[in-house]
Amino acid sequence: MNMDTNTIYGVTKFYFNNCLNGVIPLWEPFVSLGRPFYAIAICNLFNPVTQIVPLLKLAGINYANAFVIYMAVYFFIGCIGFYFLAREILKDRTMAYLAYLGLMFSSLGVSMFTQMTFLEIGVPTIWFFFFLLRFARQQDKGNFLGLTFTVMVLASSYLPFYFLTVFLCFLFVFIFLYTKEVPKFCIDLYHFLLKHWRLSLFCLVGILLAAAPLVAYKILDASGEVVAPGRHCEYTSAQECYDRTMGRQGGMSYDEITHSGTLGERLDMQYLFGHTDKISYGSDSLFFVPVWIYVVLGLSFFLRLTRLTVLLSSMAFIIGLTSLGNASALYAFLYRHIFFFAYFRNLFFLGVFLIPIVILLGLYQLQMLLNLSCHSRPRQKHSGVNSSGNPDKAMTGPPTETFGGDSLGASAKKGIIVGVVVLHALLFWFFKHFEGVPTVSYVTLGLSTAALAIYYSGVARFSLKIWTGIFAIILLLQPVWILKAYALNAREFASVLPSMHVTPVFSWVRPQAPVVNSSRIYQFVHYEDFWYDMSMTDAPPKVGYPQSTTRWTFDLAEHTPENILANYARYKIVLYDDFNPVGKPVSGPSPELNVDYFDVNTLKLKADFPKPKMVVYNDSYTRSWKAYLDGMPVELLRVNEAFKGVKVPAGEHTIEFAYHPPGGRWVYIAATAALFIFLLWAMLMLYWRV
Amino acid sequence: MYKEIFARNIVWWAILALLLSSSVNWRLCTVERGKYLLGIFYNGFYQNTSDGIVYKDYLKTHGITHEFIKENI
Repeated sequence: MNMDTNTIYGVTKFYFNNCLNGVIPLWEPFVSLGRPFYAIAICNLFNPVTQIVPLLKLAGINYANAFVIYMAVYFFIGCIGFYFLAREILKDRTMAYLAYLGLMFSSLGVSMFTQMTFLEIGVPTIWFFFFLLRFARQQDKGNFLGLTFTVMVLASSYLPFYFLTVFLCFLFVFIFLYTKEVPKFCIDLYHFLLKHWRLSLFCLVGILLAAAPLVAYKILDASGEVVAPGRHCEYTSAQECYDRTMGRQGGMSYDEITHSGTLGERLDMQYLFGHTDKISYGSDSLFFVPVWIYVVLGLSFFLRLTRLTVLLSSMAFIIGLTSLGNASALYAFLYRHIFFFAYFRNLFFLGVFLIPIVILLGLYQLQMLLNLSCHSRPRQKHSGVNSSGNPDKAMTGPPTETFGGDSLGASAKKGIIVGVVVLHALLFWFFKHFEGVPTVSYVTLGLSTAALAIYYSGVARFSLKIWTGIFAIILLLQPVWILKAYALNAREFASVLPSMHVTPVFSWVRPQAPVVNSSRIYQFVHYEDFWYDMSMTDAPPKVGYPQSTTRWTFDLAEHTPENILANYARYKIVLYDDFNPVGKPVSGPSPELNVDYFDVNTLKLKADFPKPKMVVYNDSYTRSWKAYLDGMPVELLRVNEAFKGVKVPAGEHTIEFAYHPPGGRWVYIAATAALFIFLLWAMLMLYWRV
Repeated sequence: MYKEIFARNIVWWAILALLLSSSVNWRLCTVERGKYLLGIFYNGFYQNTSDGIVYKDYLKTHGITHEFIKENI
């Protein structure tokens, strides 16, 4: 694992490790001098599939291996969803199977080790469109619940704006192309909602519950007590960035978003075909689909243009343009006119949606190409639900507009075969213009020429299974070779992450120097904090600029040199006598002060002072922190600019600091429970076909 | 007959290709990519010697250096 997957692993490990300790984490006391549990809403923590991680941990597997298994399971859930989606669209199991293979051997699979986010936004989106299509055909409760569940996952797993972008793009193109079908769908939906208003209401509640963690975090953000410093401050002055961060202007500036993280920055057309043997872990935005998909798209030049072709290619085109950021005028337009475009960056994430769209488009063209056959290609009966006379028939299914199908004569056969050979030759010439195109791509071209020529000639009357096998081999040849090269290149990038279960222990003194280890995660400064969270040990007292923290701590760190801050906050507990401004740091337990209980949300101390003291806990202050003396609430003071303090009388007392943010742990419990319930409910309804 | 000719994929692909080539600032993409790659490989935090070989080729073949970036920002 590497790059952002490490971050997600870190957050996941921290979350489930604490859950298994019996504590739902709301606070991160080890980093940035204490901050709210960051990234709660971006790591798919509440998804039923993610619960594999603690279950596997309970079964004796360490967190890192459990996380890899979870990633693999989630990836295959996405691939299976894509199979069903392709089957719904193409109405052909063979093509759906090839689509499944295409996705499985695209860059989506290897990307999960560097950008798990791709799966987080890609998998539920694939299932969303599958259920949407099914629901358009058959308005039943199962499909509606499936649709609801995917929206819930999207709302709980990552910023939903990537999905919204794709969905809006789909709506825009679909309404334009399928003008007759849209009103019927709207009327059907209206009738369904009226007829099943209780179910609809439940689904709305489910979506709100799933979105609750994100909403709770936004409420915290809106309170002004938490800041998420700009990630791209190097492109502006420190003062400007500071002002903007503290001003909480809402959303990000255009420059901040487009100065880094666009697809144009990460992807070059040249590397769609060339140097594909050199990819490795550092490439956190890999994009490749099997080269044969491009070959098929190239062969489809003279096919009849259909609405589905326009729909898929337009979606790919618009999403691609949007992901280019400031290199395309479209993004500037969207940023100005659609509010949520100011709320997400890393536009290259949108590239993940291009992969299934391009594969679907390619397989659809292949389906049309094979329907040109001069011999009888065994047609399949699709097990889908489309009833005869359904007007959405025009949207999907095998194209009926062919050059003549089975009735082609000998001259037409020859024409098609010559066309196939010429087009392949042109593609060969096209590939020659790219540097470093591997031999295996040319071999794929050669095999494709031979297979399609034989197919069209009608010489070999293989069964559908054999043809599927042949096409699968041609499809997989190049990506398998790429993955082999990837595995070789990746050998030296194995990072050893903390993976053992930890019960956190309160440390009285923060370390002054970073932990030395050889992991690459440690060398990439943005991810340093996650290392400490994973191992639940204290980081040195500092606040990394791109990381989130509390407002007062951020302010303190901004105006205090790092070495001074390190001394200032070295000791977790400092005791002050009345009227004495010089505190006495506590370096360990004593009869006067000892730790009674500690977890990430709470610190309980036992005190026995000879005279009244001010106990300062050098951990970030927010109004959501509460203080208790002998179990009774007392005033929690913001002291030493950014930290927590409480006045303690002489004698034996228990002091408790506890974090109670809006919603608290119930937000997470509700989201997890709602997702579980809706998953089970949808599965039962789909099983019974209600 | 015109309908038969224009209702082919090739026309649609050509339109998309034309739009893509005319509506995207490819030079800016190259500059941004250069900045990203130089940052990733040589920022002192993430000094890969053999990671992302494909991108090193890119820097070389496109003549992207720190000077190039400075001149183009």
